[in-house]
Amino acid sequence: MTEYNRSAQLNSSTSEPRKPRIALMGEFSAGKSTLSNLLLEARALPEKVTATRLSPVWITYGNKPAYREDMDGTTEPISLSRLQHIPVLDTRAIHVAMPSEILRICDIIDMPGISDPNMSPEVWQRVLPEVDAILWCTHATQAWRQSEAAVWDTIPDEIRQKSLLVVTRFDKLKTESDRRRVLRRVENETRGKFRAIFPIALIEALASRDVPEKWQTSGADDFTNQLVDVIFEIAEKTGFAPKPRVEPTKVSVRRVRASNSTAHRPA
Amino acid sequence: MSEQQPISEDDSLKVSNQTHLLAIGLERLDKYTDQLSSFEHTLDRIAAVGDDMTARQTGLLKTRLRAVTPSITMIGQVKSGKTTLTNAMTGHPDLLPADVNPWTSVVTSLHINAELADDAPVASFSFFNNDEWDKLVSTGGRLGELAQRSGAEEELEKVREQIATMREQTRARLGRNFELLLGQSHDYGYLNDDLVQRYVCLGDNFDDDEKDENADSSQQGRFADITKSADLFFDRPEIPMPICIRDTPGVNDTFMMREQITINSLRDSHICVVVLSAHQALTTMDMALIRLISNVRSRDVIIFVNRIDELANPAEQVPEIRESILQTLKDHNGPADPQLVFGSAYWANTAMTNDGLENLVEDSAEALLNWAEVALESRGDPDPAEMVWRLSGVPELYNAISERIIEGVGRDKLTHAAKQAMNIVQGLQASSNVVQLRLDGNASLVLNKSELSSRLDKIESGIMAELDEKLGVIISNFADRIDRSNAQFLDRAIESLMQHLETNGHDEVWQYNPNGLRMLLRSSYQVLNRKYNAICNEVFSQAAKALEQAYKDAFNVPVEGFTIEHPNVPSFPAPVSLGQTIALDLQSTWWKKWWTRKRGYRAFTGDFYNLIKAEIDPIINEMKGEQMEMIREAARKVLHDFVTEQRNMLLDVTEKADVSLGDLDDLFGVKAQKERGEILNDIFSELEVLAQSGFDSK
Repeated sequence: MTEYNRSAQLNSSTSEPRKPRIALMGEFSAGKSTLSNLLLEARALPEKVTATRLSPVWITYGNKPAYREDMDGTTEPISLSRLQHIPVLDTRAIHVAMPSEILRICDIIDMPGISDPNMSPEVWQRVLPEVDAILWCTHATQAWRQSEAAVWDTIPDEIRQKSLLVVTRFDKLKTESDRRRVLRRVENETRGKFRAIFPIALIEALASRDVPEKWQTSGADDFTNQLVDVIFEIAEKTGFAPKPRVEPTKVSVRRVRASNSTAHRPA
Repeated sequence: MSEQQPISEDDSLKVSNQTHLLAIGLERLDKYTDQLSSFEHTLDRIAAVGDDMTARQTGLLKTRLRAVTPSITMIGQVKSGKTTLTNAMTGHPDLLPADVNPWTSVVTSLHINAELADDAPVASFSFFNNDEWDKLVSTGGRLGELAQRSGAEEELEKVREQIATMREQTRARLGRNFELLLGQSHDYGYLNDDLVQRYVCLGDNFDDDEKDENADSSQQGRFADITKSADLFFDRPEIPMPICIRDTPGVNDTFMMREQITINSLRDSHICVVVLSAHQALTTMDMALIRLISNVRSRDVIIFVNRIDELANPAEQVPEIRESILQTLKDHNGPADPQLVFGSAYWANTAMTNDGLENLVEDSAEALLNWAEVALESRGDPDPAEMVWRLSGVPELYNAISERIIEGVGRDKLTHAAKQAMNIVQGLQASSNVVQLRLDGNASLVLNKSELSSRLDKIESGIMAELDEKLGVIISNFADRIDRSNAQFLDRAIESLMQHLETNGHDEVWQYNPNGLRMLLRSSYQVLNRKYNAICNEVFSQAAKALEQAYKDAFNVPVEGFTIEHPNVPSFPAPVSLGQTIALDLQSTWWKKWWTRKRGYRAFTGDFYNLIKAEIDPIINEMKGEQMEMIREAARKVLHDFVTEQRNMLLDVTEKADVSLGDLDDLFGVKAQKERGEILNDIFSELEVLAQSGFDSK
């Protein structure tokens, strides 16, 4: 296991003002791509039930064409339709720009899944030092296994305290009591290691953006509200001031389409 | 047993009213047991034409043949559905508690259709003792390292701490009973659901108000944390023979003692069913587990991809998942041609549960219909429960298990028994011939009993010496070979490290994959195994020839077509240590300290060499030592047993030769002799086929 490179972390926080960087992590097939679809309100990348093997995908606001970044920082344009041909080990990150609302306030880094026999941990470890907070996806029916707990133990506490644990596919648990008890166990096992835990039925959330009650019962409402909190907290440290034109209270991903939202989020 | 009151003694193991479904998928095993019965009948016929000694011999053969209970171990990550699957396979949907949280640390063995004495317990729970807890840590293997799980180096320490904490909590809870219970076992003459709950479910133990909600009056989980193993015995008539299904706690739980317990339970299993979750095809943990098992014996792994009921579109996704699993196995030196079964333990239990179909969760029902489109051949008048049962994959799993039982442990035992039976028949034929010749008046016993006996002694000691000598040669060649592999590996590893250090410095992590060494060790072992087989076959058949000659010489008559079948060569799984990883811990601080002194990396070659060597030596030594001793002893034992058996028969014939002619005529009338000979010829040709190839498993 790489020792976390603290100097990179410190450097990044003392240099130019920049947007907070939120990484999506977790075991492969734990729902990271679905979560990113939810946050970006669009499908950024191909999603498959079997692991998709890509270098970290660094998603920023805008319309610029995608490019890949080499280990030595060299960049090269790429075609999103040929993502699977990008050499994983030699690509530090794939940079993609999208005009999603959430990207106005943060960058999203979609990391490859852990525990994938076909993916060296090095690929995500080397980008980790640049991350401000992590959204860790764990699959409800096999939540929080040792392989996850062990990786989480290597993350600096400073980052963990800003990170959220997302229990995905929560609707696959068949009874209310099952759902409660899984959550209890996960809370117990991760006590003090996350800022908060959010059970979400991602598929349901994706389908119900415009149906407030469903959006809430899916767990997506609470989660996105908390996420925006975290992002603004980090923004203060990274010196990033959201452009006046985008009211922070309007940025919650939830509200982009459904203006009848009940949630309010002060900056 | 003084403290606890029996909960309720009614024998109320809940059983499905759909157990007839179990027969689907077990057809081959059914046919196999029919064939076994007919073989047993043949043995009875041999006993009928022979004497008391023959009856004892065939009786022994029958006992040995039935003594093999194939054991099937369900293994996989926590919450992959092992327990639910186990329940479905036994026709008791609620037998073992399956929970949304990892829940048990107990290895539960379900002995189905075991032959038991009348007063034998039907439920037996054994508790850990202090030594066993300690041993768990040292013998559990290092799955974490094999899977390159983060923090794997410190895992054993963590397990130790977890066990210590758990032990203290249990001690506090059970008070003075704690010490009394350790190492004990509780036996019961009845089996019901409460009993299982009490010993097997650990419960949540979250120290909150919900705890009481689950802990009902039955003292659920009271002993679960000190229970080491549970052995439950019951009959399931739809399963045609005795089998043992073993449910394990699973690997990759944060309570890592479970992983250690699970790995330890692999040692005595014939067939492993690795249970995966369909939504996460094959993780590094699964891969490590499969490698660990397949290094032991590749044909015994069946992969059950569970939870296809949670896929949105199984018809489309299953082929994708299959492709991906096969590719990953191939890319990472997994077993070639592994058997994959897709299914859903949830569906299986639904089919087994009364009104289960009506209560099927909506999404799951949709997935079921979707899967049915491609997975179910249309049949005449489908019974819905039967359709769901077929779609659950359990029949296919049982079919795969049956095939492995018949072709694996079943065939070994059967061909061996058939050969032994042939020898018994040969002995009888020989004695018949001697009697016949004497009755005809032209036989003469050349060797008397004591001469014969000393001749046999000579044969045995000569042949044993030859076996020892030949095995000695291949074993020492093997040791040389792996020593060479080891040396080459060390050289390559060190060269690679030096190049890395000289190019990248020591800040970057250096990893060296020990797969190369593992492959070399494995291939050396295969070479050894081939030679071992050849030598045993050669020496065993020499022994058989020498014994044949002794027969001929003893009676000074040519005995037409008389041959003695030599025994099977004992077969062995490769040593478990092959599956262990070789951890090259180069990131520890003391290395870094050395490197930073800038004396040049090459200065540390020797230290580095010793560091890796220390890691590898235990593995090498186990292969050279214990494993070699084991295969040597096994071959000697087979040979010794074989010669002893033949000696008994030969001396028996000699005795017949000593009997006076008058008595002989009384014993075996001339006419009876002829019939007897024909019967024996008949039986012999029957046995020849079996000894060759066992039963046809198709």
